[in-house]
Amino acid sequence: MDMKHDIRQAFDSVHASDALVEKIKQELYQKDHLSSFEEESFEAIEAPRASNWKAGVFVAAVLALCIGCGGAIFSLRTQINDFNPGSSVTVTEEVTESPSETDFSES
Amino acid sequence: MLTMYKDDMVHQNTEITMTGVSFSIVDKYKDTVYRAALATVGNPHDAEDIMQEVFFKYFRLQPKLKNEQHEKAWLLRVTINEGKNLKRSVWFRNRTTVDFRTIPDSSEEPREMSPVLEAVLSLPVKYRTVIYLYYYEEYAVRQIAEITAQTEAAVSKQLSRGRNMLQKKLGGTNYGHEA
Repeated sequence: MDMKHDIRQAFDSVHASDALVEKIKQELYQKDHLSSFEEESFEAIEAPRASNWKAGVFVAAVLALCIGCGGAIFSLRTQINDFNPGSSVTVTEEVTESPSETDFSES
Repeated sequence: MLTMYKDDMVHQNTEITMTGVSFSIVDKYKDTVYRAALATVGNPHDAEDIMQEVFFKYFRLQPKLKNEQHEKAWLLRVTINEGKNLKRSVWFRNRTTVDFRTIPDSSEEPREMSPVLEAVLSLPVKYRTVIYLYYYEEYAVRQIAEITAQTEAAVSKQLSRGRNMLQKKLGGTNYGHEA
């Protein structure tokens, strides 16, 4: 007895019913028509697309605003550092200079 | 693992268009898909549902397949996956088991199953799918591994165990020993 032969014979006797095949075809046909109809109606009511230049202008404006704000903050901070007598730069200079002079005079 | 399908998706099936769909693929592969579905789910009623779902998926996705061989392999792979998904579903696991052979069939012909087919379908799903692909569709172990997304070693093991189980069911150790 040949297993392969028996299995082939067993599955050869299995067939999809004609009624099922017809049902599948009908449903596919309906789905196909429905999908093409939906596409047509979608195209008809679809809103016109916004053009790309508007998005470009928006991005450029936001970028300019950011650069402007950043520049303003940076210049303000520089001015504060320059004219503030208690800034860190001035204090450091005073601290480093005075002990060396004292040490030198004592020795 | 998927090289067989992904790399070769070059051929567009020209039968399929949006305006006029040709259903020749249903006629061509109806029995192949139905048999694979039956081998996976184990009963005709679920096999019919799977078959329907597979063809819907084919027409929805319209895969670009290189040739007929790949077309068939794609359909078998989807059929087996759909069958496994159905068997994994909560609904499938919780439903009452009914012997489908006792249910009167709506089609003209009464369903009769050969003892060999009954024995194959009584095997666990992983064994019967592999047995079907190897003995009926005549795929090599490597191809079955690609279709079922397993390793070749796993497929060989399932084939060997399935064969042994089938031998026991169908007539002892002497059954199926080919010369």
